[in-house]
Amino acid sequence: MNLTPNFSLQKLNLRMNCRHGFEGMIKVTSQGITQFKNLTQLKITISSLKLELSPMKDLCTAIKSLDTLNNLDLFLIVRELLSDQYSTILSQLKTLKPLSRLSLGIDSNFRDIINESALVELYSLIQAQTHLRKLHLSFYNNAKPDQNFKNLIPSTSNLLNLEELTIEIYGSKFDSLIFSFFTEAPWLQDRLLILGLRTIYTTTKLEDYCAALSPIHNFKKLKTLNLACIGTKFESENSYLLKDTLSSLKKISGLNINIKESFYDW
Amino acid sequence: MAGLKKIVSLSISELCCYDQYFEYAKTLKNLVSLEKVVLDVHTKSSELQNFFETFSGFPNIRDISLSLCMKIMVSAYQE
Repeated sequence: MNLTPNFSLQKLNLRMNCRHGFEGMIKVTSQGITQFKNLTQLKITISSLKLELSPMKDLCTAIKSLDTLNNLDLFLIVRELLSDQYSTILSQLKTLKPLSRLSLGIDSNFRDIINESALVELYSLIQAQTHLRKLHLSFYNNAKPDQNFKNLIPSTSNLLNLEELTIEIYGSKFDSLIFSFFTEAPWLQDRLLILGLRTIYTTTKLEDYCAALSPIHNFKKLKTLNLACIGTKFESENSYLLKDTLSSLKKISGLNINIKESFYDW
Repeated sequence: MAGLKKIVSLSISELCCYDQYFEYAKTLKNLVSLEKVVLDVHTKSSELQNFFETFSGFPNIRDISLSLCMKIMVSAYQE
């Protein structure tokens, strides 16, 4: 496909529902996006039942060919996404040009999607992005991070320019102590200006959630804390704990706290 | 048409085929002030290439939000 180059487009948001004709759609789209010679922001959301690696590799190659790209969002909503497939996609993106913002999201039916191999690829991809200022990670449904996350957090500490980090977790029960991997990391405490912790339609222990929020007192430069607890059910016998924790955080001088909450009413 | 040329942002949803989009695309090329387009299109893989080809004709558009839904091929007996 020979397309006339387009030099005007800077921002492209592509949402593809590929339940039918996945391979053809991704292959043509991969060729299509390369015509945009001044693209700085690219957001791709792929919704599909299954994923085929060959067209996804083409898509990754096309993304890597975009010389002016600065911001990349890639959200895969793939019901039957295999861990090996996700690892391969992440490894393909490892050689991306330096970005200032990276947002990665995954939604899958498989619980072990973020296994150790995928985590190694995820962190080596992030680690290679030394210019990164904003990082957003979303885990939906069963694609939730587990305790393995803890070992890999320090490996990204060379992100010297990181100012903003958002972690978003959606669906079923999750261990909110995972948030503490981020709030307790000294290199993040030294650098972050904006921290976002989002829980959406999930259930978690309130004591663990509040324990993960406590280290926010140790952040040296934090200006904004974005908390979202949308449809979140907190399991606890102490219903005042969250209120007390938030009151304590609100006393931090210079910190602006935005809270979006709609707690699950059982 | 003079009024249309001042349009900066445009959203077109529920386009059911490429042919329908192509009619819009002819107009979009004349909207010299147009900077942002939101499109929601049902298409086939074979039409998608033509779809991307139209973008080179938009001289000033900086921001495109494109929602593509693969069209389901319905066989004759189902119709």
